[in-house]
Amino acid sequence: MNRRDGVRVLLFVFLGLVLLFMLAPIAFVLIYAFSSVSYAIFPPPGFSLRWFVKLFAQAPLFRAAVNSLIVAAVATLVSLVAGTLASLALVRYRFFGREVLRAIFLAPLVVPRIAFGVAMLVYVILLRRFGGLDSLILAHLMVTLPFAVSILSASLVGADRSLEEAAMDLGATPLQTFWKVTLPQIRTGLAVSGFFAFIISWDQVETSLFLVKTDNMTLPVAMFYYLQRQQDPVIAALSTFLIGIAVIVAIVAVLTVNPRDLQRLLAAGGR
Amino acid sequence: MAHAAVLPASARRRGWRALLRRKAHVPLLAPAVALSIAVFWVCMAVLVVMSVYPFLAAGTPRFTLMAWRRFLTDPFYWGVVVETLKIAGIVTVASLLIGYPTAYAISKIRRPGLALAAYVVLFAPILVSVVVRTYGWLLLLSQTGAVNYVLQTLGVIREPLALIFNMTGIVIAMVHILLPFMVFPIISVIGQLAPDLREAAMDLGATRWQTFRRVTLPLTLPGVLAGAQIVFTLTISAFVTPFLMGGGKVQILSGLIYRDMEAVNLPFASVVAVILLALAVVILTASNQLTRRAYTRAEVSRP
Repeated sequence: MNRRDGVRVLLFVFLGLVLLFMLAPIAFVLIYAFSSVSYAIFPPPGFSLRWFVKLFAQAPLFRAAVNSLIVAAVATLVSLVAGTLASLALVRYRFFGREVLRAIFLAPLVVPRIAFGVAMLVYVILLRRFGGLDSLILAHLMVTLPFAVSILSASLVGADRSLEEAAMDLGATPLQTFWKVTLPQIRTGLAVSGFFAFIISWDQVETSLFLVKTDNMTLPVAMFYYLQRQQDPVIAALSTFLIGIAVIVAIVAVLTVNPRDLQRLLAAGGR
Repeated sequence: MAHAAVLPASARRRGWRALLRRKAHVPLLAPAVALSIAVFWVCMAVLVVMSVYPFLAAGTPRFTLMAWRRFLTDPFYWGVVVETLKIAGIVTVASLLIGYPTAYAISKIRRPGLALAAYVVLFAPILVSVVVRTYGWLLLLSQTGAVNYVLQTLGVIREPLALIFNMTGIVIAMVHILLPFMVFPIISVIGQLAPDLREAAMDLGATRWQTFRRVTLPLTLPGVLAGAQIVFTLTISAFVTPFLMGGGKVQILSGLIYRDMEAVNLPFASVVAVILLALAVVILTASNQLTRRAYTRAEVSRP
């Protein structure tokens, strides 16, 4: 083995360690979900299903999960619709103030979410809407919409404009052209931005934190409060389900989306 | 519109349609712009007003700089700003030191299946809630946790190390959460590297290290800067992970905001929020300039 191969091996050993590091905390959450004791001792003295039993008695957590699902679904849907329309305007039209408008949309990405959370609470109190799901949906939308706009814009830039022109020349109305030509071309963009919007809303703590009471509690905030109060593995038991869903989602994403498209669009979202 | 009157009706109708098509961006933009202004931009204004005009407090509100004075004149709060920036700096450097070789290694994987697997392992944790991942680190790093157990069993240490409720724990968990955001932009610039540049350097007699330092590194600098920018700004504004891993013992700006919200001190929380926001904007503006210059110099396109 020459020196060149040595460097290569070292590089891959390092990569292996990094990948282990990425999986470690998730693996340990799964292990402790089946622990027989409430505290974090390694190795766990025994295994049991008691934390699952205790989890199923926690009605507020289930209610919070339903709230989170509703908020994430609505925020995703609205982001996709408003985001597609806005991206069409930003990409397909040249008009005065386009860059200013783009900045207006993307600005929430710059603002620390917890700072926005404070502002949103004051605003919601002013509007007398404190304690409802509507305030949460609006708050999450401010975070998900910029992602949708930037991913969908990138996706539209990649769509073939001459196909749209051909459709129009052949007599299609703008609406028909959009449905039959443009929309199929930005399918991946829609899937990726919808996926991102859902994940961001579903896992949103900072912007929700100050807006929740008991009725509109969301799952990540409920888990955060639970961990602050007591650190027994009920959260670990709950996490096994959440991790299971994440694994299924990852498998479906890998199987259905073209990796090259995914990479380009992820980059647009990460910016 | 004087000449419109002399046009036949059909031409006028076509004019309308043409106008609609030319101005179609207005209705297209309306929903998103309305939402953004009515919620986000009004919120930002409300936040700034709240910091100087506590209008939700009892009694008649009036203009006051009290909350601002309290923050700006107390060295404790300046210390919190410094601590926040320090943690962000450490997390950024650590993510870079781990993320660069990781990105490089992934780009060197020849079998597409393995490369995909590496991608999935690296990015899938994003699908798991930040709260859950932080909890995982609490389990791993506690006094009786697996890391201390392994180190003690191997005889590396006698007493368990304090790895949580301090800076160490915050840095480890934050690096874990933000590593994908560092690796991603670096992989995409490495992907754009022309392999013949490296071969040319080697042919001209450069060693591997020289080639890396003089060719690869400068050309991948834009990705490094883009990643560092994301990691740094996400760290200064992170709350859940630093709060849980710090156990209330490490004071940072987001924790300060949370504490003041719990104490229902809205004006002061608003001041801290505005300061955190200002920090984020200043850092992003400065690093955007740097990053843009680096992309131009390296002649690679932004991902």
